[in-house]
Amino acid sequence: MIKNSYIPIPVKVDKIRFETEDKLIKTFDLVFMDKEEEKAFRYYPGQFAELSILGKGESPIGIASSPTESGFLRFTVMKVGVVTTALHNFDEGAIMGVRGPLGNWYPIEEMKGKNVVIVGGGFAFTTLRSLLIYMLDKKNRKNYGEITCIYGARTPGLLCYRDELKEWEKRKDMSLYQCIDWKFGAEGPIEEAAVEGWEPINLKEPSKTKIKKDIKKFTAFVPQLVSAVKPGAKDSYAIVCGPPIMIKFTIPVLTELGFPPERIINSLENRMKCGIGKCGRCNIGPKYVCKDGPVFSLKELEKLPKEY
Amino acid sequence: MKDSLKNVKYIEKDKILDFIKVLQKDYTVIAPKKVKDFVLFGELKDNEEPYLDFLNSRQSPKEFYFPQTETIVEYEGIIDKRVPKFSENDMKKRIIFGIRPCDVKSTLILDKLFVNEDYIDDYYKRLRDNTLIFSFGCNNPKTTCFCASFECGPFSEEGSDAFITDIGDKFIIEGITEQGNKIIDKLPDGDGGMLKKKKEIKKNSDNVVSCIENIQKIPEKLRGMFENPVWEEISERCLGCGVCTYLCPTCHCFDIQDEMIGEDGRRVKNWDSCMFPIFTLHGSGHQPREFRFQRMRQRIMHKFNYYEENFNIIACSGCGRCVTECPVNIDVREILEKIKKL
Amino acid sequence: MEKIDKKIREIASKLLKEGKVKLIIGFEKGTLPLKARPTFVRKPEEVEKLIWSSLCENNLAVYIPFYRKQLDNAEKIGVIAKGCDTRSLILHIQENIAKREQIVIIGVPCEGMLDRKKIEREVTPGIITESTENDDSITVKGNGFEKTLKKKDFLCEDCIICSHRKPIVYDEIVDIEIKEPEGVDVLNKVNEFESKEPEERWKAFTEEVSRCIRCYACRNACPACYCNECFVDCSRPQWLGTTVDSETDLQLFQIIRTFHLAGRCVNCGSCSRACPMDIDISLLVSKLSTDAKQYFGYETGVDIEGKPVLNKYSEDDSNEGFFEER
Repeated sequence: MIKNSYIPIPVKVDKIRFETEDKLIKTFDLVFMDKEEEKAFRYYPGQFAELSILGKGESPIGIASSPTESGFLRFTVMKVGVVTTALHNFDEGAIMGVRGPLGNWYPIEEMKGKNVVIVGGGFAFTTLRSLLIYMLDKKNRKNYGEITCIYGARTPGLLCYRDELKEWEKRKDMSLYQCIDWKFGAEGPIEEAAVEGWEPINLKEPSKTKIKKDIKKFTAFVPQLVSAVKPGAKDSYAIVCGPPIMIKFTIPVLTELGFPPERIINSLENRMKCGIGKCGRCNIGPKYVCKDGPVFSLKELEKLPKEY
Repeated sequence: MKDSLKNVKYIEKDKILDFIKVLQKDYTVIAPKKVKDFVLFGELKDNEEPYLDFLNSRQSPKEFYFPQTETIVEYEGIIDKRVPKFSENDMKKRIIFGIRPCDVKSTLILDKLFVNEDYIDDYYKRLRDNTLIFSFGCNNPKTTCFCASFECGPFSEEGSDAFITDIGDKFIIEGITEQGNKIIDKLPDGDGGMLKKKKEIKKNSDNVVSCIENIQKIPEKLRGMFENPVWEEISERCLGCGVCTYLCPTCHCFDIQDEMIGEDGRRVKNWDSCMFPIFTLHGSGHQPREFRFQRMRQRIMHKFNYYEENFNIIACSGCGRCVTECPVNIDVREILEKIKKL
Repeated sequence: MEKIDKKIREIASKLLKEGKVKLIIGFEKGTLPLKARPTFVRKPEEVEKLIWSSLCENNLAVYIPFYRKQLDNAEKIGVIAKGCDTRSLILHIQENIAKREQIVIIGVPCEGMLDRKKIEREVTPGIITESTENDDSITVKGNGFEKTLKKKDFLCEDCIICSHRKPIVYDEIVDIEIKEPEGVDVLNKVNEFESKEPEERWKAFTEEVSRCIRCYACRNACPACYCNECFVDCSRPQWLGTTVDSETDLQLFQIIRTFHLAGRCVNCGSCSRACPMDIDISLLVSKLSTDAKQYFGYETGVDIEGKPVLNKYSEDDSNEGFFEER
């Protein structure tokens, strides 16, 4: 059979688990029904796929597994629309479809020999997990310099991959900083710790915060934590993925730390259908998020109209 | 001179049905047909004559490569056990007979998007590969025709397998490709007089048809115009309907939808339009193109800048359908002239 | 016509200069022969582009819902309005889209608008390049022909049956004498279709809507269709399929839209004129207008003090519409 870009590849839902305490986010491990299809599905961290439920539609979701983990594809999905709701109603063993891999990926080749700073917020951490697992893989770790990961969510229970976070906390070959911000908002920021074990930082001038060596959990917004951690920009790439508001405030911090636009990497979202640059809806200027993205450097984004 | 006549055939006007019948032995023939008071392309039935006394069809014949609704896959059974069923039946080859040069040009424009090195749209490609084009010169270009702006024209042969000209009492048919020549081979040979007549008609049409000068400069001009206030001015009268995009021979945006009847379902490609707000509305409620001017800007930018940047060709062939059918007379020619002057 | 142009410009200029309105929606000359089009004037020096003719077919009330924010910011809008436009404006006021005092209505009595397609048909195969209008006739010229046509023979279908040509309400008026035609009624349009057998009607309707390409020009050209989310666009739940090869979906689209317009349609004919596939959409909607009139004595937008027919209840209301034997 000729490979037809619109036809989903059948997969089986192998494992399902709740990812967050609010039960709105679940992680699905999918396995291919056909070994040949599995072999043909070659992907890199940062790519996405259309999760396809016949009768409901498709939803473009970043691939959370890493190509270094074989045997399954992992997707972490929030319940928002028709397709994702149907997916959340599935039991293990369900048959569904996957179309992909689609889009471009994080510059894993270009970043070789460089330090990498991963900045993530909320459940947009999925493809960042893929990247982290990929770089931490035994075969790949030596190719990268220092790895710093800054990850935040509203509450501790809304952080994704909490078991893995615990392992990463212990690792010597990377630094993981986490933050939560849920006590902020209507009443304004608080200066003391929101939850035991989570340290406050200087919110007014976060860059003046002294980060103690063994404390890695804070009460802060992600941009403030980046400002406090002050990851070095020299020979470093910053990979930023999160809600638009987080990206908006993180980029100036990175720029001030000295990251040039070509080394600040973002992953974008837009309403998509075909995923292959035909259907015409996810464009930002002449670029299609599905085909030319979703990964863009700040330098590339600066050339595009602000229409996303 | 004699050599060049080898590919020129003719047919008496009252014999056109005979010729169609010959074609129908091996091909499905798609031709202009009268519907109410206008013309649409459709499949000719047995003994049905094409309606060739027309200026252009109300809708472009793009639906024969890019149907408004097209099934991608079918499926059945309960929701968590469905697998796609996809079968490709043998398809009878088709001839689009009497298509105007602007619409042929549009097909060539669409080819670049649907069949390229990034991805191939197999559905489009299959329909396209199985279709021959017998295009039809325009003796009477409309006042809204501006095909001459786009390396096209009322007698442009680009993309045709054979080219038809109405020279009064008869049609001459010139073979362009090998396949085209083979099909018309049995028709009687034309002569120099006929070609001379065609030349005169062509000359007249070329004189009549309008041309937007220096259209090639538009894409570059648009590059710096995203934030220009002119978009609000241009779009203020826009009602936000899909007439311009659905009649346009180069508009190609589509939606993918699933439909169930009982436990049987299908996934379809449907035309969609950038003029509809829902086109870009995120599941989260975020809307990158909230206002009419942003949607109008997208339509113009896509045709005259983005498409050119991606495929080196402007996505317009000057057929004028959007001009004549817009309920509030938004005129793309006027917009282009305005952009040029800014 | 020039007299009317002049008067409109005078009024518009005065309103803008005195700051009574921020924006005037009127008509300007179109880019095609036989076409005038909506235009938007914000400065007194721009009023010169305002015109009036028998080609001002659009119902300008359609634009009011686009300007709700501006209206809320106390930016008044002036609208050049024919009889049908004023009826739609009254509907908007009744339905709280706008307040009466937010809109300055510049009334222009109308003698019916011309149907461009009818005229083009008349001169086929000629291609019209210019037209000039006189009191009762219009002269069209083209490649080697010139023809003078009587306007009354080329009116839009819905203008033929219009019985409210004079603006119903106005703040300014272009004072010209016109006669409301006698003996015309929306019923005239519906009767013939209604007299057919049900199967025949259904067949004709199905055939007509089978050409629908779902461009929604009918909906978007309609002043009464201003829902934030149209039922055809809803995805949760999805009321309607999205394809064009399902007869049912095409039928349902027009039927549901028609019901949404019950007692709200002013029979301006914008839907039919906007349709690129020449589907006579207003025929179906007209039926509900005749029902509103027949059963409830109600006509949309003719009484600014009144309530829309579906918004009021009276013990004297006819129940026949529900229980009528057929």
